[in-house]
Amino acid sequence: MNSSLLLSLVTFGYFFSALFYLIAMVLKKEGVGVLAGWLLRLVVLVLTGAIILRWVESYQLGYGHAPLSNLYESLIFFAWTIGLIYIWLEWKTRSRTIGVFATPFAFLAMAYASFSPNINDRIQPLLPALQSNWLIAHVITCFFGYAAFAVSCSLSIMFLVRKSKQETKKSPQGIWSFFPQLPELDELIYKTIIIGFLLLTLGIATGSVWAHSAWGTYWSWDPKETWSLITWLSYAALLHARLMRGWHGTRIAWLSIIGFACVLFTYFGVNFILSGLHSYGRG
Amino acid sequence: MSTFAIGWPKGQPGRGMTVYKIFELRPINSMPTANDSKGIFTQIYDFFASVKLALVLLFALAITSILGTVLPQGEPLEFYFQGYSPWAARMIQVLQLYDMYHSWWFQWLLLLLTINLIVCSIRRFSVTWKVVQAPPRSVSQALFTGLPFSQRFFLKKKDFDQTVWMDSLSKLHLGKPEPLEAPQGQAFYMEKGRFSRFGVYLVHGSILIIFMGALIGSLYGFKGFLELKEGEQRDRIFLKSGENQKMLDFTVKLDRFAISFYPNGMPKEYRSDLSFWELGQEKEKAIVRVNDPVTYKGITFYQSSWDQSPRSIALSLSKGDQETKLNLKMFQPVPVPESPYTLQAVRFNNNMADFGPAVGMVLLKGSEEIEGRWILVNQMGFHGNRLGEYKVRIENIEKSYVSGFQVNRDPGVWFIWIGCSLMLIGFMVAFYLSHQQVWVWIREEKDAKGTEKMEIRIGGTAHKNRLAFIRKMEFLTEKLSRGTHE
Repeated sequence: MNSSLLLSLVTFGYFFSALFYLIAMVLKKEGVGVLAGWLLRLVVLVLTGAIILRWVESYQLGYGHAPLSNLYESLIFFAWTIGLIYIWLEWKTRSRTIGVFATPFAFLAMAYASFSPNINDRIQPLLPALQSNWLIAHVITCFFGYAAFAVSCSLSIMFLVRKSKQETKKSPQGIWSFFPQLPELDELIYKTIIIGFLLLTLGIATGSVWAHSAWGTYWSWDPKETWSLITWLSYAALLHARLMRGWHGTRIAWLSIIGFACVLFTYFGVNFILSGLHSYGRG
Repeated sequence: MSTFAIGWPKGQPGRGMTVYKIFELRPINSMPTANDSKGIFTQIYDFFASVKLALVLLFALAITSILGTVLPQGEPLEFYFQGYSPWAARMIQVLQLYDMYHSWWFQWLLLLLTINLIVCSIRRFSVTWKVVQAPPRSVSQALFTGLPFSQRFFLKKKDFDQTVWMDSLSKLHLGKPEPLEAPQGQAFYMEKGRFSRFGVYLVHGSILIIFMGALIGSLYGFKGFLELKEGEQRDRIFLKSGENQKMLDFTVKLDRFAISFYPNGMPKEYRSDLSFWELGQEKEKAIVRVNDPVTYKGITFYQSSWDQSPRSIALSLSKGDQETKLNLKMFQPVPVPESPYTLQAVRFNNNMADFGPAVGMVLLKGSEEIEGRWILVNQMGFHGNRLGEYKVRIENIEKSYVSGFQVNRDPGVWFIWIGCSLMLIGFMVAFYLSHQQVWVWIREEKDAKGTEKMEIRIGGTAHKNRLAFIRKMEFLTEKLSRGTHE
């Protein structure tokens, strides 16, 4: 048994739990939803094991570093954080419909990590610049933040779907009527965004401590840094609009989707389209 | 002002559907504004205090920042004039897009944001200060109708037990209910998190501290570069801005440089052993690694690059079947035995046109140059490895390392770390704590039949996260109104 095998299982596990969540919603089968929920918990547990195993394997190879060092490992960690945050949300809201929109993000991250030919899945030793505990703090906080934003993006999509259906139809019939109510979705979007915002801030701060110890500058306007700032600014604008100007509902949902687009660009776009210090993330 | 009807998908809907004002705007926004009699000064003040300006600036900074990640930064102007249309290149020049984040207009945006932040915070702060200082409002019909959460119910007098009631109220975890003066009956007031209203100022203040740190760093700090060969010492560095050199008030010497590798050949560690000297005396030794800089007298040395330069070259010269061995140091001319010539190594290239390392050598006769060529070190049979009538074969090169350091002084950096920490604390306070206030008003009343009843009003507000607050209040009121105490 090795971590690669477990990670393939996790990829399929995420796929099936997303599928079961969808079936549960479409066919309105409570039982399938319960199954999806338990499958997801199992998948996250296996993924936790796989990440630990990969860590152990890196020690066996004589490198010995946390599995947070390249794009492949970050995608796996991203899938793990999405899973965890979603499970917390399901427990908190007792609504499984969010799973239909949230679990596919985790599946896509795993599938991309496993099947993309551009991504190197070998365990490699750490370059000197990456040998820092600040890096571990940086990656963990950033990806929990990203995951919170991913969940808030799925909630925003749900909000927009429900809102448009609710306006066109008179009686609640479609599957969307099983989504949480609009005010509750609105509140959850806000809650997940503040979690994400807090963690993104912490991620940027730990990243600049790391940059300062590695290169002597805490901020160098490298594209990855700049895009994380762009993301931060757009969520800061969203929070001001909501808290100070009373924006809510549709407008906040759209802003949250734009914010997540910034997250995705910071994560992938910068690595593949732009270049900079974070080119480590490429392989 | 908009209102939302709350219907819970699951859980207790309470009795009937109640309409609460959740998305009510802060009173701060409905402060008296807009009248023609305002002076120009007030208008400017209002402009800078507006949240609208903050929103515009945040979006403007986000959108313009994209530009600098797409357009290559820090290239010489010719680069843009060659690669872009004349008009675009002109724009790049005027708007300083070649160094966008330090351009005049970007700095202006940041300055505007700073002013906005300060003015906006000052204006809000005076309101917050009044709210925090103010005694709780006294109970009245108007108070309860104005609160985001407000409910009214009746209990028979015989069912009403004051001590049990007070006990239930303490379940709200809003502190001890304080008696409040009331026009009739009894009133109580509870509150929590009054000072969480200051969280936002902590966040805004922390941003100012970070800006201050950046400013101090750029005014009183410097960034420079230093390259040292093994054994070499220097007392000056090159500054990044301009071509200036900066004298240090000490001498730094590279005693040793070492690289270690992983089994697969990837670099594992770059390490420089430095020593610091003053007036010919060694004061301190230090090891610098990547991610592990060293600071001496407020100046920090970061391992940033390395190179190799040849120290001595062992070679053989052959003419026919006659072979001579020579050992020469870089740049030092060495006479070729039994000949009028001298040989000198003048250049070194680690990888010459993908043929591996090469040494640039010249053969001299007196001061006259006979021939100069690149001699390929690894391609021993290469026909070009010759100088004059000699075939040249390089047998060994002893190299010494050159270590490159980023050399900084940044007195502002602690402002950055303090600012970041305060910002995170501020976020916690601003997002997760809220000022919650609850009023309870109990009056005795007789209905038409003459039964004695207690009329009970409970109302409350939270300055943040109202939905959760209302939910909590509903849950409690539901129990209290049923007269169940547990």
